[in-house]
Amino acid sequence: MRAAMKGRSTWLVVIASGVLLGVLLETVTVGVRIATSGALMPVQEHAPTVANGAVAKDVAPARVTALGKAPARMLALPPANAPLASVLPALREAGMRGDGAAACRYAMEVTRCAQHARDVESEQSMRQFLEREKGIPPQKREEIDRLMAQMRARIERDTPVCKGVPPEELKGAWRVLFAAARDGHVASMARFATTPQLLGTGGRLDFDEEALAAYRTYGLRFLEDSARAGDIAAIEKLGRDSLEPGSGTRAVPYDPVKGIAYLDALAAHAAPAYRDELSRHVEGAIAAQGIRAQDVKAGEALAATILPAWTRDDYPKPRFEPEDGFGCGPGS
Amino acid sequence: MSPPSRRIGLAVVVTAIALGVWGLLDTAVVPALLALRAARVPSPGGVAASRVAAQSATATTRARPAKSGVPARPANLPALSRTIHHPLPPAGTPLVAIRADLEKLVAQGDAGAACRLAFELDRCRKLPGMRSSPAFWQQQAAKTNDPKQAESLRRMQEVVQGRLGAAEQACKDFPPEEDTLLAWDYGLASALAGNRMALWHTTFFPWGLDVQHPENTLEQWSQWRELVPQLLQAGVEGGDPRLFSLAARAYLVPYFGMQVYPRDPVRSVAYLMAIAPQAAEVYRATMQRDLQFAIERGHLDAQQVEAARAIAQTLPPLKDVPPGGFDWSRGMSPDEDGSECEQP
Repeated sequence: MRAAMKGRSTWLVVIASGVLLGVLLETVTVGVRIATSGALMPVQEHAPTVANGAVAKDVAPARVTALGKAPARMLALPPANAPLASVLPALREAGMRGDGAAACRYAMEVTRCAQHARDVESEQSMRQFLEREKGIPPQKREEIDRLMAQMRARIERDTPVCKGVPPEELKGAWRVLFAAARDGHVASMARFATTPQLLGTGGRLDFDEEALAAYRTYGLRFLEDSARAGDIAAIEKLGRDSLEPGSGTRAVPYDPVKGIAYLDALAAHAAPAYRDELSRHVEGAIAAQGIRAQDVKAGEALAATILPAWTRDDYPKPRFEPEDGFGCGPGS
Repeated sequence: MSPPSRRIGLAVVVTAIALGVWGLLDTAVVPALLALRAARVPSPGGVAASRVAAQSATATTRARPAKSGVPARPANLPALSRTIHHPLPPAGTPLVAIRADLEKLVAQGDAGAACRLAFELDRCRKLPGMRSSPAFWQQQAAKTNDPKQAESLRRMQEVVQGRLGAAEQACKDFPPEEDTLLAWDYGLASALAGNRMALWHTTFFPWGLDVQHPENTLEQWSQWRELVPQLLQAGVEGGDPRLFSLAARAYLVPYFGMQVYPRDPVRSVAYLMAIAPQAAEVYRATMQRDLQFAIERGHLDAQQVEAARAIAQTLPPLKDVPPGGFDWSRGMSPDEDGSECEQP
């Protein structure tokens, strides 16, 4: 009897301990999930989605939680240079639904059409200028003709693509890209932070204040994440901006050591022409700013470790063309 | 060894406590932690974006020419007057030696002193970038085979070399990490008081504002967008031909990304017509060519050209034009040294 009771109570203790252990484990798990992911939502993993000029890295892909969003269903993207008027709404919608590649492609296509409108206007102005100015020196005229030919080729390529795209579509494309970037789509982070025409900071300075405010808040994070994922344009921008003095509320803090490190690291793995350009920039900055010798050395040393391993030694300067999916990643 | 009933009781109590902890976590702590975490994640665009958007909305409603005069002074800027003026330190004196004195004069309401502080702070901010500028123009001159163009590029090189030398001297020992955003505040305060030099600079290429990285000075750009139509108008009423030229442009195309005035090619041509007769002999042909280009670009017919001529007659008279007329062959203000701030 005593022995039977002892056996039952032992079982009860074992069961109670099991329940207790389970509860404790669950409690610990909840704590860890709160601390690491920020939400009790499924973690959506994005493969590194950097296409043009990308470095395939031996690092884990960005682990980003898409708060409150179901994993996106991927839209089959249109081929390069397809007429956009009929496909833009679907691209925008897919982008807003959380399809990062669609969001990126949408924003870059819209940027292309905005540039197309400017090209048409500029070509007209240039023609008027050339009709008016008869005494242009031959060398200057050759240079103008070369630029005009490039512009004409772009206009011819983009006219059928952008035909019928409503002007209102050209405003606010950054919001779609920004949403994808915030959701962790690496290529969208990179294009958002490195496309001046999209933010309106390229040349004409027709920036959208809200877009720029968003860039100022998130730009550094986007650049660092996409640089770690191997986006060449992001690495270059991080390096150049870190190396550029200036006051105000910066997106990228002035840090000449880091600037030298990023640009030296990139130069070491760049194609010759690109390497020369980067090296000249670093040397110019050192001379113009009087950067101390110990900071230069620190930057050179940091260059070896500031980015994960490289797999190529001939990266050209990144140029985002329609045929490359604008650097929006695989499938774009 | 404790009796089985005590062991059972202990196990039940511990289990109950654990379940209680779980319940607490599940119903109160987890949502609270998540709410706390969510609060730390800024909404898209963040606070700055909404604030700037609000400012932008204000700018949209105010972005039209003022009827007359200078706009109201923003509350964060000192009240200045161009009627209060003191002798300013000689041009080229290092900023570190004169800054405190200039600040005292600003506190007394001297708009010229604020203009001078803005000028000096701005050129010290630009100094690192200026250092590579002469080499750039030299390279451009070396590249060209056209002697006339090479000569023009060499002249440009001389201008920037001169500016660089002056800046090196004026910014000697000035701490490079100094926050030179104050240049905008001083310049704007001086412009709002009607100082001619400050009006020109605040409108044309605003002191202290970052063009390459506008995000660094976003709030100041927002302020510029809000005030520039009225500042430009004030400059025109002050009779500065440079601001007439700028107004002509502002009626035609966006300026720093902003369509300052509603597009009006006739009015644009009128502003150029108003200043053309005051061009120096050496610059008259260029001025005429610019005027003709504006007429062609705006597709003005004969009737519209006449309308522009009539408007030109109604524009404010030009003031303080150099005796031989203005010559902008080397830029609109190639030899500035800060002493221009003393002219009210």
